[in-house]
Order: sequence, then C-alpha cells, then structure tokens
Amino acid sequence: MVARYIVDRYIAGVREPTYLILLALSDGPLHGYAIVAEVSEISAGRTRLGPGTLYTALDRLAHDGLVSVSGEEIVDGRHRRYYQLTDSGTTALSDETRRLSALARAARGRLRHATAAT
Amino acid sequence: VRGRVRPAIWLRVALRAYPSRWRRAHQTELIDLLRDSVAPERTWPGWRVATDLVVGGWRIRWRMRPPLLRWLGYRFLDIRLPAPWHLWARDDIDGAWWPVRTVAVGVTIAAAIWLVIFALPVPSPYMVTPPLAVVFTSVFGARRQRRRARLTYDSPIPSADVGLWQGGWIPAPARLRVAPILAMAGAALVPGGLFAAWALLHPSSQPRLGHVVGSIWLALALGIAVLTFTVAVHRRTARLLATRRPDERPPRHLRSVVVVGMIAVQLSMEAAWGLAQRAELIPGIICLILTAGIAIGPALIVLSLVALRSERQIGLDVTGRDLRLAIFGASDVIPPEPARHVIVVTRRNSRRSTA
Repeated sequence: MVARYIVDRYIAGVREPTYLILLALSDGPLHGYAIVAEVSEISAGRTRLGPGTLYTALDRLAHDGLVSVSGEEIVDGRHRRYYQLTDSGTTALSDETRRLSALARAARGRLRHATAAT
Repeated sequence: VRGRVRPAIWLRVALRAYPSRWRRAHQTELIDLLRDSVAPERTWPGWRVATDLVVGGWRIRWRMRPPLLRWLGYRFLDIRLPAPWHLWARDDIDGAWWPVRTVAVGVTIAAAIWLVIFALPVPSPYMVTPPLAVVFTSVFGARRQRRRARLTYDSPIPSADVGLWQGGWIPAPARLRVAPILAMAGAALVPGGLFAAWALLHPSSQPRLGHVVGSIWLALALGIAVLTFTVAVHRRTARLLATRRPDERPPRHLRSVVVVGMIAVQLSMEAAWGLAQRAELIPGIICLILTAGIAIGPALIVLSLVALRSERQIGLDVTGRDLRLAIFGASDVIPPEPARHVIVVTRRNSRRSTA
C-alpha cells in the first residue's frame, strides 16, 4: 500500500497536476509562476503546485512534445520562460477532457441509481 | 549564475537533486519562481516546498536514466548507450560524483572477485584486493576522457556545453615545489609513529622497539608540525585557484570525502584482516598506503574549505586536477577569449562548423 502510494506519488508522476497544467496553458503561453497561480485558480485552491512538481511535469510534457518554450524575458529582475501548448498538447488535453467528462457522466448515472435505490 | 545573489545553502543542496544539464537550463527560472511564490523575507520556504523540490529533481533523474540492463552494460562493461540516453551520459561523465561511481565499480568488481578468491586455496587473499580494485577501476571505470571523446563522436556537442567539453585549462609553471616534499616527509613520519605506537602495545614487538621510543614520538610530533606548515602553503595555492576559476562549474566538495571514505573503509577491512592474520607485514603495508593518504590530506581539507567558503559559484575539483595543483603549487591560467570554433564529427562524414 505504502509502496504503491510512493510509486504513484513520486515515481509514476502525478496525473491531475499535469492535466491542470495543460488546462492552464490552454488560454495561451504562461511562465512558471503564472502556471502555479492559474492552476490554483482552476482547482479553486485545492491544488497548489510545488516547484518540483511543476518543473517535473513541464519537463515530461516538453519531452513528450505536448508543450514547448515560446519565449523568455527578464521582468523586474525575474527570469521568465514562457511555455505554450503544442498541437499535440491541445489534442491530448481535448482527449483527456473528453475522457474525464465521460467518467463524470458515468459517475453521475451510478450516483442517481444509488440514490434511487436508497 | 554570474551577477546574481548566490542562492541559500538549503536551495543549493536541494538543487543538487536535479541533473546538472537541467540545472544549467532552468536553475535561474526555478529560483525566481521560488522568490515569487515565497515571501521575500523568508529564506526557508517550509518542508513541503523543499521536499517537493528535491523529489522533483530525483523524478527527472529517474526519467532520464537508461533501463537497468543498459545501465549495467554502460557502467561495468563500457558499452555504448543509444542516442536517447546520450544527454544522460554527458551528465554522468561530467557529474561531480563520477570518481565515486568509478571507485564504486572497481570496488564492487574487486569485492566479487574477493569472494571467489576466498573460496579458493590462496595463501593471502587480502593482499589481492587493493591491486584488483585499482586495476578494475582503471580498466572499467576511469576512462573518462575516452568516454567523453566517444560520446562527442556519437553525437555533436550541444552549443550550451561547448565550453564545458572544450576544456581550456592551461597549466602554469609550478611553484612552491617544496610543499609536496615537505608533505610527503611529514606524512611518512606520522603513520610510522602511529605504527610504532601500535607496536609498543603489542607484547612481541616491545623488546625490539623499546630503545627508540623517544625518537618515534619525536618523529610523530615533527611529522604533525610539518603537515601543519604545509596547510598554509596549500591554503595559498587553493585561494589562488579559487580566484581564477570561472563560475558555474559543478561544486565538487563532497566527492573527495566519499572517495577517501570508500578507500578508507576498504583499507580498514584489509587492516583488520591483516592484523588478525599477521602481526607486522600488513601494518607495514598499510603504513605505506597511509603515507600517501596523509600527504594529500592537508591539501584536500584546505581545498574543500576554500571551495565551501568561496563567494562565487565555483567548485574546486578536490580529487582531480585542482588537488594536484594545490599539492604541487601550480596554478591554472584561463585563456582570455575561449575558442569559438568547434569541430563537430559525425559518424558518416567529418565536417567543420562554427558555433
């Protein structure tokens, strides 16, 4: 159980933050801190991305060709590197959103049956 | 990063979890993200953020590394890695822990052979292990330059790494050559004195050594004094090196400790076995080996301290060239303008290009 948790949490990667990052980038290119803020807003404060989680996910997404670096600039002495969705990233985000929608529909149906039974 | 405030110690340690290539590309960005996320007056962001940072680094490392069988072949048999892992191989070869990995390979193979030898009727199996470790380390692990050259042949040097892979250190004429001579002389006296002290406690040796006890203790004191003097000489050289090193070389403070520690563990095992088997021959051999170890000890400590206390982002190579320079009193000279022409060699044909 513990080993499974460690593998899911720290080795296999976290799926929900990755999805939220893709979702945050769907509006346009964002830099690291803006992605953190956007993800927090999308998830209503439930998901707070740590720097390690963010950059691990970005590194994996860039490696898989789902995001790319769109530009860099220095703002108020801060180094900003902007990330954007690629075409593959947009497709992956659409597919994942459809899958989650179908899952939510199925869950709602089952909940209705369970409520009716009780 | 040149011109920027040096990150706090905890952050530097946490960033070590990331591959060096990744740090070169993203470190500034990540530090600025932390500055945005955490209140500026706080230097410690809390355990959650720090753990997340470290775990993230190790996750990236995990993803980058080759599968187990390929890794074993690369590490122990020096088999080429396919192209997807060339970046990992570059990090591996340039990594601060390369000597540790090299020694670990040698010791692992030697230990395996040691177990086999012990099963055979060999009169002094403990004598075989140190030479075996040295041989296997040099044959299987230490060919850093060869691996680097082969990797450069397999895939062109990324433009960001041109400086790192070009080298460019020019040894200056050696000076203060008296320091290593003094260090060796002092180091030779110290283990001799220690061995004599051990022998005095050994009943069978007391009749032969009893009349030179005073001289032995005098030698021990003299040896320690000479070593202390050499510390000052090494300190001067180490500081000279520190001022001339460029920024952004990977810190290599700890690897000497680990390498020396691993060798010390091995020697301790040998010494324990030798003392249990023969009372005098093995301690004598151990004394000779310790002499070399003690001779480089002061330079090692001084280099580590200078590197740790330096204001700049430098990392002295305390088990490699810098150690040799500190011991022999030489210094490096950096060319004012690094060469910008890089020869890129591909497998099919050779061509020259300008970076």
